[in-house]
Amino acid sequence: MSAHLGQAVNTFVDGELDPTREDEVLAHLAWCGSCRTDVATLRGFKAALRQTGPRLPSDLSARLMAVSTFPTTPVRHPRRRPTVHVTPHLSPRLRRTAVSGAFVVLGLGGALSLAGPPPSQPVAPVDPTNAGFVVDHGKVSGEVPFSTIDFLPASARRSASPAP
Amino acid sequence: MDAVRAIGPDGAAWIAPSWDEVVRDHSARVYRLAYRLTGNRHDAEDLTQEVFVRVFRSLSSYTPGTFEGWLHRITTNLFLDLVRRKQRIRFDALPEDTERLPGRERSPQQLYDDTHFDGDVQAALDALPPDFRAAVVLCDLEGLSYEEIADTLGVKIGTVRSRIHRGRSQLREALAHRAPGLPVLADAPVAELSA
Repeated sequence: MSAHLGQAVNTFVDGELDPTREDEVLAHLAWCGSCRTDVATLRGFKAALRQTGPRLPSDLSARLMAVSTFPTTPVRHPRRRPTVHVTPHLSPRLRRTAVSGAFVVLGLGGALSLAGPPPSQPVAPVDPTNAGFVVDHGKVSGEVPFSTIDFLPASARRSASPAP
Repeated sequence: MDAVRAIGPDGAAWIAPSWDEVVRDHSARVYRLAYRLTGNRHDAEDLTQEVFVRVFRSLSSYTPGTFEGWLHRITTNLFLDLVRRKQRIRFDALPEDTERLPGRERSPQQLYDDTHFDGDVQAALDALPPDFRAAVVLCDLEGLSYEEIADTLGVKIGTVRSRIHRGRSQLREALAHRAPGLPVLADAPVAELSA
C-alpha cells in the first residue's frame, strides 16, 4: 500500500503548503483517487459549514443596537479595574489643612464679631454652632486642633481674655 | 474582508463608524461564529451580545485596519473563557457527563436543524474539545490562515496545525458515525485517512 497524503490533505486544502510540497501533493493527487476523495470531502465540509448555519435572529439585532444605550459598567463578567473615585479623598494632612483653613475664616468672623458686629447680625446664634463643630471635630478626629487659634465660644473667650 | 476595507481604508482617513454601522456590518458574522463555537442559539446570542458590549466599550481605543481580527479575537477568547468557567462550575456541582446533555429545551427550529445536515455538522463540532473547535471553525468557517489563527488564539502556529489536524480527524469519525449517508462523506474512505 503506497503512502497517502495523510495530514498534508489538510494543509493542502487550507492553502498552507509551501510551493515545493504543493507540487508534490498535486503530483500525488494526479494518480491517487483515494486522496482526491479526501480533498473533495474536506472541501465539501468547508463549503457546507459556510453555507449553512442559522441567520441572525431579528430580536438579537435589536438587542445589539441597544448596546449603545448600556451603561459603561460591565454587564455579566466584569474584569476588575481600578475604580476612579470622583469624590475627593483628602489625605489626613490635607484634610487638617483644609479644616484649619476653614477655622481661620471662622475665627476671623469671631474676631470681627468681637470688634463689634452690626446690630442687625446677632452673634449669639453663631457661637454654639461653632463650638459644637469644634467638639464634633475633636470627637471624630481624636485631635485637639487649632491650639494656636482661639476658637472658644465668644462668651468663654470674653471671660478668659477680656478684650482690650 | 470588504467590510474591513470599507471601515479602515489604509488606516488613513478613518472615520469611526456609527454603532448602527458596526452592528449592521458585523453582527451576522459574529453570530455565525458564536453559533459554531457554542453549538446552540441561546449561548450564541449571549456570546454575540457580550462581544458587542466589549466592542462598544473599547470602540474609542480601536485602531483601524484589524476590525475583523479584533472581532475574531474577542469572540473566540470570550467563548474559551466561558467554556472554562462552565467546566469549573460543572466540575464542582454536576455529574461529569453533563457536558453532553442538552442544556435546555430545543426549539422547533433547532429540532429541524438537528435532524438535517447542519445538525450533524454541529453535533460533530460540539464533540470536539473547545480549543480544537475554535481552530477548526476559524479555519473552515472564517477562512483564516494558520498564522492568523495562531495570532487570534495566542498559540504557536505548530499548535494550530496540530489542533486542526486532530480536530478534523475527530470530525471525520464523528460524521461518519452519525451520518454515514451524508453527501460530503458518502465516498470518504475514513479508515484510510489515518494511514
